[in-house]
Amino acid sequence: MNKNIISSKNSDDAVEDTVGVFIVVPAFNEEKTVGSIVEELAKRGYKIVIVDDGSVDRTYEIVKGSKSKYPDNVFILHHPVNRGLGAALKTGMIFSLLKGADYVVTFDADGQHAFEDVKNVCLPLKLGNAQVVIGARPFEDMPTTKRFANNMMNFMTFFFYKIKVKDSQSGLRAFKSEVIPKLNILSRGYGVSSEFIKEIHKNHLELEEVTIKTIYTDETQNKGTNIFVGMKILFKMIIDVLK
Amino acid sequence: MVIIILFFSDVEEGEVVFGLLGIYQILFIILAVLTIFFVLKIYNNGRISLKTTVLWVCLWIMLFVISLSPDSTTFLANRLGIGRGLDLLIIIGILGTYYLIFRLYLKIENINQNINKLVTEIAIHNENHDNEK
Repeated sequence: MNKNIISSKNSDDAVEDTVGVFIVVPAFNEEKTVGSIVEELAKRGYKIVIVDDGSVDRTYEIVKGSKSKYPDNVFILHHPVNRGLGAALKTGMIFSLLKGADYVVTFDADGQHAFEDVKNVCLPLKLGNAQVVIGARPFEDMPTTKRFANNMMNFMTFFFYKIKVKDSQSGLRAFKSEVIPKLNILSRGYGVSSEFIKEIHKNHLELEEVTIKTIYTDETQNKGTNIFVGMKILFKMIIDVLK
Repeated sequence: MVIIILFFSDVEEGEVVFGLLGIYQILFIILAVLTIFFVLKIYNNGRISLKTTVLWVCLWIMLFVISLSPDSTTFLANRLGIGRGLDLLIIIGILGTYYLIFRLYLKIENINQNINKLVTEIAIHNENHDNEK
């Protein structure tokens, strides 16, 4: 396994090449942030696959509005019922492959990722240095409880799957499209992040971790990996081992 | 009914002993017989598989035998190194329940995966359809 850590600063001068890059944005009740994220990414020329995972708020209407502004760049996939993060990502990735994507990036809809990091996580794929890139959030910036939960998840990922990563729960990832069919993703919830790591390990894919920025707002504080989610993922991992 | 009660037998220290049936025994026997008939009937109607039928019929035959001769469980329990017949029944009951829960868990997991596949298919189909319009 090839694991190099490169800093996002090194790639800032790279030209933003958006050809063949599909960004999968899973969204569940993200009406406050999803519109601006989709439009900002579409403005940069990326193809956006937004997966509305059975939202009960106005997420779907908002992305419809964004699609009318960028009809060629925005695709909306609507889950009639909520199936969780894992299922939403899977839907988005399968659709991207059908549309002929070369690179598939997953991007959280809550506004915690910086737009320029999309380019940074794609770079190692384009240079041929890696098949999968995970955007690692610097843990020093995290609030204490989040840092603890994420550290715990890294340890558990290491314990169960024997692979050490800087950030096992990051939502910003980039894949070369040809490796996606090899990933067997079954988790529906947040456990999917660890499952990606397991599949990367199992298929001997070349992984690179790129340090990314994380924007902490009230929105992003309330979602993602906290202790309860951590316990749930732990339980899933144990069941997986027993199966 | 009187005849059935009089012909009740039990094994005690290798000897067949005749005596009266307790009320709970009579109730259980009737319940077992009725359930076996019911299971066979729904099997004939094609609503359950042969495997399920055999499983449930065996289970109720076991209950039938145990009701008829409660002490037989003590005999089995002693053979297995467990003190009392009732303990054996409880242990079998708990293990059986755990097994069923595990089976159910796997089944639900399976159904969940199938729902995911359906939802993905529907979402992709609708997106393609919207674009054609």
